Amino acid sequence: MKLRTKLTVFSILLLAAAIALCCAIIISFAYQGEVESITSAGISDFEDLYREFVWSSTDSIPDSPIVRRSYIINKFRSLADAGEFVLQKGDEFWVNNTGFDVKSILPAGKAAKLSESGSTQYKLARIDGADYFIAANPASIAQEDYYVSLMRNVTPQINSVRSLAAKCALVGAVITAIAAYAMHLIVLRSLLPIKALQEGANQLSGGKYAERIPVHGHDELSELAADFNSMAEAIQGSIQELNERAERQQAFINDLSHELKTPVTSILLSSETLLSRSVPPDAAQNALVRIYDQCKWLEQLSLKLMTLVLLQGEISLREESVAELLEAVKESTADKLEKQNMKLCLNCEMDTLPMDFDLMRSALVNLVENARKASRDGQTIYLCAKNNTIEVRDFGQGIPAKELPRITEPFYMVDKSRSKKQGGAGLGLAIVQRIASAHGAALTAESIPGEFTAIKIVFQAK
Amino acid sequence: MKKLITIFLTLFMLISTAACQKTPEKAVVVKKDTERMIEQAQASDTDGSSLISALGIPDKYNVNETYFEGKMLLSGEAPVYLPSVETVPIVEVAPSDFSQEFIDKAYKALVGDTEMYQVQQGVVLKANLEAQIMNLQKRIADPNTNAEQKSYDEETLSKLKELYNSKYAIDTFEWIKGSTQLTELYKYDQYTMDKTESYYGVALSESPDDSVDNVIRFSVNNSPVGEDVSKDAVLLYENGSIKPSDTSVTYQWGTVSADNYPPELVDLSGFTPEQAYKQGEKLIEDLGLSEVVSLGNMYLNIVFSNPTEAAQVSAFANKNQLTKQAALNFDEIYKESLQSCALNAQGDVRIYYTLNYCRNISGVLVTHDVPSTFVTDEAWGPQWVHEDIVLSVMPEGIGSFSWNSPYKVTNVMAKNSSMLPFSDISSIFKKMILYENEQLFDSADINSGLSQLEFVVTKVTLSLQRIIEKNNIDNGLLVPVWNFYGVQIGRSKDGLEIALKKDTPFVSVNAVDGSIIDLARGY
Repeated sequence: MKLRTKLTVFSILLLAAAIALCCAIIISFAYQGEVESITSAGISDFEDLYREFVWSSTDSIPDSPIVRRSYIINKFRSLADAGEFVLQKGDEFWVNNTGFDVKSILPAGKAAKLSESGSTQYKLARIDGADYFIAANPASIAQEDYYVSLMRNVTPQINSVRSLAAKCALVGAVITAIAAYAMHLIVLRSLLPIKALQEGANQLSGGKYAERIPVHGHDELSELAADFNSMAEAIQGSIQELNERAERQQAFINDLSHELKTPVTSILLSSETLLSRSVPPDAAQNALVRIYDQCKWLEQLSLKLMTLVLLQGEISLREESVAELLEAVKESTADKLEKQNMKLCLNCEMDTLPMDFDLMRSALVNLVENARKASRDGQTIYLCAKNNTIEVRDFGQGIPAKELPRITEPFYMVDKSRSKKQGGAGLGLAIVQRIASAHGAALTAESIPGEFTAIKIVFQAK
Repeated sequence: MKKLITIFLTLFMLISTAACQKTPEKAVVVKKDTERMIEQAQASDTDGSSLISALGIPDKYNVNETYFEGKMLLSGEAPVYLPSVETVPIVEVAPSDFSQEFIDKAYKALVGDTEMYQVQQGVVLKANLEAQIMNLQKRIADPNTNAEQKSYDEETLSKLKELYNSKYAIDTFEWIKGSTQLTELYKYDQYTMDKTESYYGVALSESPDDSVDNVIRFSVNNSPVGEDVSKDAVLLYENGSIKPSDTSVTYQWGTVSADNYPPELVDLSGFTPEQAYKQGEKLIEDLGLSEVVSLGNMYLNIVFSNPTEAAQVSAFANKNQLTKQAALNFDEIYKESLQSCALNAQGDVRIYYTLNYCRNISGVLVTHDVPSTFVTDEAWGPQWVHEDIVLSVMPEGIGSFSWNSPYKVTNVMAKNSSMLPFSDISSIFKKMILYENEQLFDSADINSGLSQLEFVVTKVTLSLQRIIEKNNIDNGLLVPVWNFYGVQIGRSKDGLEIALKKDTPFVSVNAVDGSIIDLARGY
């Protein structure tokens, strides 16, 4: 069953039950009130008559049975409403226009109440489709036993309550019907946002990641719509990132294939040369040297690729001295810098950092190597650690602005010919980026061509 | 889900039946009073209780009782009037309307070929209104008119003026040829002309103006349409040209018969009772009323054209200020006085006869002493009028015929009712007359002035009378009833004696079971 149907049905059933309960309570009160009124009036009338009849009948009772009978009947009729009061002597009815034997309805000891006076039995009864108030009391007149009773038709009064019940039922039914229709409309309208959500989800599953659900109001459904839009945004972003990553991976593979192709081709050519029958010794020597160089190059490349792969996992960090780190970097790069008459200036204003010492040294060495390759002989390279940032700054040729975003791409080289000449594969900054990411740091680059280049590893503040 | 809906619906149903009615009970059904009485009346006839001759009824009812140490006396040596048959039935009756067939027959017998017109209802002549308005204005202007009357007259005058300016006030009546066909007619409020009641009937007259006196009128009013209405269908014929004028005064001399009447009075018009009786019998025959018989006697009426001369009789017409002797001899004294006035009158004196008819059910007359029985205790509640068939016969012809509240016999409950011996009836009468009046001696106010109450029985009758169940005027029973009539005399401590010749019986006793009948209530 659909949610709107469930909501509508439950609401209507609840409303109907509430209305029925209210009506039942009202009718119950009305009925009780009517019964009290009937009982009070009936008992009063009966006891008044009873008293008057018994009292007035004690004087000068005739001796003759027929005359006594006539006398008592006449006395009774003169006091009582002949239509509802009954006079009985033994089993013989002397006055009875009700048509019923009251004793059969109100036998002694059976479910009947006693009036306040304690002598009159009374009850309400439904007989042959009509309601009666019945009261009775034995009487003794001139040592003879009589039975006086009242059987009053109270159907109109009870029917007024029934009529009220019918009206309540009718009004209740009308109200329920109107409310049902209104509830149906309200539920339909209330569930429109869910329908929109459903459509949005369908579109999302169909690949339309840019579609959003309109958000109206500030209720729970509008919050759900907003959350859905956020989810769609996140999914769209993830899909986009996945697409970009897939593109990057494809580009990496393409670049790797391209990078591998050159040395492999050179090794094959050189091997071909060596395998040919007549190769002069110096040509063979050259071929061997080329094979050796290309294999060295491939070894370097594979080492760097391995580093890249290893850096995809998590590393363990320890608090290490930044000053010692910088000193280690200086030591690792001293020989090559000295050959070019270059200097590495250190400035350490940090104490410790959580790091993998060897990886961070490798990253900084990489940055200093790049700075060396970009600088002229005799220039100074600066290595500074300050404010959770380790910076390598050179004053070499710089990097054009449009190249800056790509410098950390694997195999990307700004000046390919110079880099290759200097033995570069375009993986250095990619590895530094990975090392920085593994440390939770960011790698930033600043450069003005012809002036400087500053590569920074920015650590998170403690 | 389905479970929950089922639970809800069950709950709803349970709650909805919260105001349900009580569980019906079984009750033993028993016979009502009239049914038991009929059963008693239908008892075996082996003991002869259904024969009048076996009831020990004397020719004269002698009674002499003293109560309350002489404060209350009961005496009498009254003739007992019995049916001419041995047995008395009990029949069930129901109110009836006049059928079209009877109406046509009555019209033919009474109106004959006289040209009659439809009485226009719901309208009033402007000329008549003007006369009424003038009279009221005169009375209002009269300084002798008391304030209450003046206020009432002013209110009436205002209503009449409003009526005069309404569409219901017309200049002339339309003369539409009359038809005896029963049609739906209405009663109207006399001032607003609003319809108050509808009934089926006929309203014909020699003049369409209902207020014109000296014309022939023929009207039928069947019982009103609707629930909780009185049962009093009426057929009325009047010959206004021969009936006494409005300014004359009529006195009823008394009962006469074909061979018992005052010749001097009869000679005033030369119209004998026998002649009147024959006219009446002819009409009854023409109408086909086989069950209707004359009550035996007819009333001689004397019409004085001079009201002053008529006033001389009024002193004797007051039955409430008589001595015992005068009350006992009332009829004689009254008749003598009336005759004397009539014979010595200077003005025109006419006589006519009033014949009363009643039903004869298996040889037993159906009588009544009150006009009607009321359904409820309310004064203006529905009532069932007793049947009256009255004929006025003038020397010139039928002056009027009226038949009020006809009924039909629907069932014979007992052909020969078993009745109580007369001795039991007498005992009951003697006890009940005491019971009915003993409170007069209990009351301190009356006791301080009343020293003795005497009842003298002057007539005892056995006839059929109608009884009903309370709140039911759809049917009734004609049952044998003993009625004790007489004169009631009250004596004060200072010697004043006031006698009253009662028109209604002292006590009415059901001949079958000895129960007392309240004539006004009818049971």
